[in-house]
Amino acid sequence: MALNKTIINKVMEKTKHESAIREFLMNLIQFESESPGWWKARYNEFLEKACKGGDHDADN
Amino acid sequence: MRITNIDIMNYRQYKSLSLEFPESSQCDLHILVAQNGVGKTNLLNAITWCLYGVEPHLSDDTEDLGLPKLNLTAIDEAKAAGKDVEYVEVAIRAEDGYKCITYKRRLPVRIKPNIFEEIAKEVFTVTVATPDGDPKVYESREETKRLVDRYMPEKIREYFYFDGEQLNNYFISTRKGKVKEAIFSISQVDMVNLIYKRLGEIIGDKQREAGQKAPDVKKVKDDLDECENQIQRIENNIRDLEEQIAKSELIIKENTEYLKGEDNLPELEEKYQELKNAQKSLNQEKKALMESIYSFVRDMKIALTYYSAAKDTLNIIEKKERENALPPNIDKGLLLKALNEHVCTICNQPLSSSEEKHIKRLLDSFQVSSETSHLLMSIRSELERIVISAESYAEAKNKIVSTYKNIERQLNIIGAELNNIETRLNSITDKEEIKRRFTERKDNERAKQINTEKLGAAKEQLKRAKAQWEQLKIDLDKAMEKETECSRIKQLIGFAEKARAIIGSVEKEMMDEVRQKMEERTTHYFLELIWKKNTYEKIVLTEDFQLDLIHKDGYSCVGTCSAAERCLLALSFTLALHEVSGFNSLLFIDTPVARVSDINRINFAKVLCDVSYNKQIIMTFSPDEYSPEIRKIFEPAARTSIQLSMVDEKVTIVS
Repeated sequence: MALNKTIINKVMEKTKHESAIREFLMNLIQFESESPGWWKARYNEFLEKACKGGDHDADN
Repeated sequence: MRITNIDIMNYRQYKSLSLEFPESSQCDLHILVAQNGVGKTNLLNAITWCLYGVEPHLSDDTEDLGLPKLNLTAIDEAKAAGKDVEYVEVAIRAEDGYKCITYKRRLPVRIKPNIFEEIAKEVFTVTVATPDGDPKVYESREETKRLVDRYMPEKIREYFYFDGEQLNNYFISTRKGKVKEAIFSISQVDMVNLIYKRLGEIIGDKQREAGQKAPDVKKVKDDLDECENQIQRIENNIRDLEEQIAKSELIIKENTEYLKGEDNLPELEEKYQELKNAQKSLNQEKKALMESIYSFVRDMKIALTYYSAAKDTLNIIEKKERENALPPNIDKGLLLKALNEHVCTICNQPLSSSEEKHIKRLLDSFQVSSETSHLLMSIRSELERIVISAESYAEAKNKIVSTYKNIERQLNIIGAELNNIETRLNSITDKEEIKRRFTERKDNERAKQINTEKLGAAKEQLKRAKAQWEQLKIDLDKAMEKETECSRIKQLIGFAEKARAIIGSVEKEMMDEVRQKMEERTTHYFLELIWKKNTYEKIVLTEDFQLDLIHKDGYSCVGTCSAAERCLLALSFTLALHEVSGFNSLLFIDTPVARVSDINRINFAKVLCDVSYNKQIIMTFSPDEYSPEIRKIFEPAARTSIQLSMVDEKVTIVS
């Protein structure tokens, strides 16, 4: 399903200072709009990736 | 997304039909006009069959007759051509930006004289073409469904493709729940809610995982610290004990050196004291013995003096006893009285002659008087004691003499030992120092023994404590490793909780905004569409998303408004839903004004024209519906205006 722009805009606005959370939520929204089915593994994957990215930023 | 083409082959009335919906810079409005029965509603069915494999808008005639999907002319032609199989096919081409997407459904049908058998499952494919590469064809159910749902989800299809004749049923009670569902589904609040819930589940999983892994590092560390302190205490104790033992050994050694050749004065004094006590005890015993000897001599003098007389007297008594010469212990006077009075002196009964004879014989046998007999019996035990004492004299005297001699001998031995010890003690010059050193050595020997035992126990305790420390160290290392893992999980939980809070606030805002906007925009469209401008105040959605039409006087009137008004209400709701949701897909309305007439139709046309500036709208009308008033508004705005008609009442074509 095409994404509702209002959702995107709200997420973007609420995460403007938190890029990792923004990317994480956008991944989830994209996933939910396109890929029904097994979700837990994908959620965990996105979460791990987002936190790894956060670590990377923090390290830098 | 907008539909650019619909190609229909052999589907119901449509033998071969290609419709094109080119884009316009103005209104994206497309009109199809056809008589009843030509296939307006089946055009809607063709779309839903192609996309979802369902035909929800079949007319009663079609259902009653059980006509096949395969076009009747196509059947005739296939038979004539000797074909065994013919195909029904609908293709919808759409554009989404630079992507061109083609949805195609194909159904093979076996041609038999009177049966048209669908011989295999429908084949549904979605082809996605981009300017960058070759078109990609998707055939799996999962992939094709995803590509349909992405643009026109089946569960909300009735808000894209709907039959105007059924609009008035939209808000009857059985559909109430669907309003909320539709709003949340199209505006994707339900998707946001799903993300919120699923994140909650992920957080729960992570918390459980962290709970399982969470080590009590502090506890293990505290235990380790306590163990280290314990080891320290034991080691200090061992050191102290070793020092004390060494000190005792030194004192013992020094005193042993000093006391070399000396009598053990404390022991000697102790022995002396013991002997003195024994001497005292023996003297007391001797004194008591002497007293018993005096008593013995006194008693023996009496016994020996009267022995001979006592012996003779006893012999006489014994002899009289043997001869029955001693009367029994009865009063002889009583017997005489009974004989004289002929009455028993005890029971006072008269005596018989035989009883009296017996008493006379008894009295004749007694040689001594009763008084004498009593006297003899009373002195007998004393006489016996005198005789026994006198006869045991020698033995008793020997025993006493022996005891006396034994006491005397012991006293002599003790006296000699005491004299010896006194001599030795008198020979010691520095008694106090020697005594102190002996005591000190003895005390230290005892202390050394106790401390040596304590040292052994402490060393064993130290060994156990060190083993415990080793284990705790391993536990701590493991706990530290787990803590690192745990802290990683906690980081994930923190991150997910933050993301969940954000998506939760998005959901809350969306719900509030969507409801408010839906109210505003539905009211707006409804008031634009109806001619009664002063009858209705507004449309409200309750907290539970129940739709209600509020009269100017303030009361609810959704249940009492006309069928036409309900149609316009449904249309208003749908238009508002598309607008508020931001869902950019087309709107296909079959016979939108079937139940609407007069001025409402004009309003309807104006509103739809306005909406088509931002949204593709395809509408089908019957010629009657497409009245001059509507035509006047739609004709200038419509990008395409297509007339459909039938050939031989079998095939629909574009006129």
